[in-house]
Amino acid sequence: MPAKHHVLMIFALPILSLVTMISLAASPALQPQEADESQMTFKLDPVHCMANFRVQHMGAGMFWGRFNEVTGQIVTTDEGKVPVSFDVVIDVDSIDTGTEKLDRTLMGPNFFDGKEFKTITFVTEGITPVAGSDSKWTVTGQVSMLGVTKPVSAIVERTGVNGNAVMKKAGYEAIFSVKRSDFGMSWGVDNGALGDEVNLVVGLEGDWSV
Amino acid sequence: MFVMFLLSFLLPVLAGAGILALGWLAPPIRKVQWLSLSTLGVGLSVGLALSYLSESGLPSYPPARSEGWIMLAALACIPFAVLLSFTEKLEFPWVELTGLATGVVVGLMPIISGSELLPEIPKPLFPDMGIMAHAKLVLELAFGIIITIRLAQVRTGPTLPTAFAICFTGASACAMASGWISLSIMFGVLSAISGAAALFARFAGSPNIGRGSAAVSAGLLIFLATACWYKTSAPPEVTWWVWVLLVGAPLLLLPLENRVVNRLPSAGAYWIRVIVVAIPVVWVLVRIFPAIAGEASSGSDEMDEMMKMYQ
Repeated sequence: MPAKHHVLMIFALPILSLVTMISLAASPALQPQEADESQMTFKLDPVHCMANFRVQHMGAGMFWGRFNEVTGQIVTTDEGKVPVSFDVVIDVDSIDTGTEKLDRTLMGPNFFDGKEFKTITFVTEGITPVAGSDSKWTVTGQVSMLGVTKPVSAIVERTGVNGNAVMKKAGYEAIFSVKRSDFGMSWGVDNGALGDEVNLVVGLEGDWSV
Repeated sequence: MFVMFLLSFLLPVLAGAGILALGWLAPPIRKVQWLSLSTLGVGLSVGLALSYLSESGLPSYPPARSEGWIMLAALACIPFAVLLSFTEKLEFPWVELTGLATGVVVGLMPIISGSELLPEIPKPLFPDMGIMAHAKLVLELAFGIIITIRLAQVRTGPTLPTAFAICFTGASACAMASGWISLSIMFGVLSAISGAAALFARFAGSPNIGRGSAAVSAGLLIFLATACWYKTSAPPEVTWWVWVLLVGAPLLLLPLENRVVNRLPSAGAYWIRVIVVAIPVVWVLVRIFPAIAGEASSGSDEMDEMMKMYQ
């Protein structure tokens, strides 16, 4: 082979490779990968996340409690402003009602059975925007508690996104209600000692960094 | 609340006491030896099963939640008490084998209940119970049942039912302090039925409670105490040795089976035995009272602030 052809090959091969790479990158088959790259995953910050619950006591007052250990992640697009999914894990042992005796009772087998079922989880199945709002979504998913998995629907509001190109914080708040008897937590429902419907307000704050 | 009291406590106690009245007081039945010997065991088991049913409903098999073993244990205790009443005359090594076999069966329940021939690693009987904890339960059941059967052979009448009534009361308080309301009620049912047995025994000519009933009383006390220890977050007042004191209190009757106490008038000997069993239980009750009353509570400042926001 003449030397001129060798020189041509040396230049032609890298150029051909470059052209191939550019054309492949532009092909429709790789579009989803580009979309994934635009997603931002915010790791939940347990210090600034909490799950508050409210339930009626003895048919009278509304009694509040919360879980302090909330972990998981929020996957978003549009720089953290639009949620794609929420994966949330609540540590049952972190229950806090302000009274140790009540914490023990709620941790016990009549309620959250925290020794046997150590976590409550939420996995997202779908998200649709609330009509007329650019900061609220209806999030559907599966809640697993006491070994029972049930679908739930929550209204989630973006409370804020802040940061820069290197690190960001995103905040969301979910409001929904569940019937505790659906998960087998029926103690006190029939005799009215404690309400069946539990209202939840879950505050989430996640961190993202490069 | 009255409906809860009625279904979870009063009706099970009445059912258990009714069985006792039939077995020990009704003339035609009390003459049938195996019925009389198994009456207390059956009464306790039925009372516990009814109370569990009212509190938690019927569990699946094997139980999806570990407290389901309580119901299954209660149901298993009925034929167990009856069967043991037929072995009343069998001596060494039957009593020892009975205790050991019961302990092994209970300890291996998670494996026995596995439907597959080679089950995957089964869930423990109660949460966080390792192999050593299962082995300990086997030995505790074996030891407790053997000693209690031996005691029942030498001590007839109200002494043993009274001792167990006292211990079940202490256990009920411990379960309440640990935050397991249903178990507290179930221990209360067992205590009331044992108390009724002590009362009926006075009018029934001091019957032998039988080795079946003795084994059921001791077995349920040990089994439920283990359930409470592993299923709840016990307060600092309810330590492992508090449970040991409660569960071991009936065994204090063993050294009191001596010539000195036996020579005393029967009422005097009865009260000495009862007081000796009651001392550790009363001490436990005094110790755990703050946990039951909620005096040891302390809330976080953040929670207090949040509560104020909603007031």
